[in-house]
Amino acid sequence: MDAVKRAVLATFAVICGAEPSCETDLREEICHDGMVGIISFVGDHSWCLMLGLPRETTTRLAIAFAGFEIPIDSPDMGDVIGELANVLAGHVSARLEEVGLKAQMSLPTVARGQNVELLLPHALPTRRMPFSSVQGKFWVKVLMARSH
Amino acid sequence: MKLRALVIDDSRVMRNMVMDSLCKTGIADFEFTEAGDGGEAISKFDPDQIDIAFVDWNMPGLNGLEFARHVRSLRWARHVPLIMITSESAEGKKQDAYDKARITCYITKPFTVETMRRALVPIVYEMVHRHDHDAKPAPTAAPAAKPGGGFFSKLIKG
Repeated sequence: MDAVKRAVLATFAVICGAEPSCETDLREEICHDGMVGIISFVGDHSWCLMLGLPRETTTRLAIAFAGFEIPIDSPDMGDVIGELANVLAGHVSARLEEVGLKAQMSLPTVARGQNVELLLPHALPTRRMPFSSVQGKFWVKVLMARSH
Repeated sequence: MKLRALVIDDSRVMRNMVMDSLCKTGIADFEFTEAGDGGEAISKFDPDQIDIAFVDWNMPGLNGLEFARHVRSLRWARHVPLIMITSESAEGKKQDAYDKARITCYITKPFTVETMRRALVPIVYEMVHRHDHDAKPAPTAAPAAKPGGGFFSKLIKG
């Protein structure tokens, strides 16, 4: 989890122009309004990384990342969120490799909508980390599926 | 200097970001050809029409590493610089790209215009140097000393 947190802080520091802060309010809304980027990892451990951006954060972060405005309901926004998840996952993967844990990343899956509910497998350890950036709040969730 | 660049990424937004950043480096006057995956890139790749290629790693279908390996298997295309621009930042992955695909340079996302510029200056310098060497007849006497502070010297120092 520390590797994930450090990757988030480092990655979003470059994208946002300032390091985001970790939030202490761990309350989670059942339904999400905005976008979610999901990347799976298979290797020494099988796990899943999710990046959740509320609607307001999505548009502001897209401008910070891409350098131009992108409508939230456009296919390009799916590209951007997928890339953000990809970049974050790449940095997490690099940090895990430093401690001897190798994994192969999947291509990103992106979900968009109101009242989006992520239905995750039961009884698997998950950890949700909320953050706050210049562009707004976002969260990162990690699900650990299997250890080989 | 004009450079014909092939930009390969399955994300249209990323291709635009790469092209925008390349233009902002000021290193060359770029003319772009785009491809959305490795297969399309192979069909568009012609070493007589493309001076340099910028390729993402993770793409559906043929990925960037496979594209790079294909290009390096072509004897007449081995001179073309291949720049990998990817979210894969692990050292092992980077080493794989250099060892298995013999890419020229590796840039991790997110990148800045300055990162791009610093990576490209020595590559473009080498391209110009090779072009000038190929174009010149073999010297019959020692060449005269050139004055210092040429374009690339200033670019590297800057």
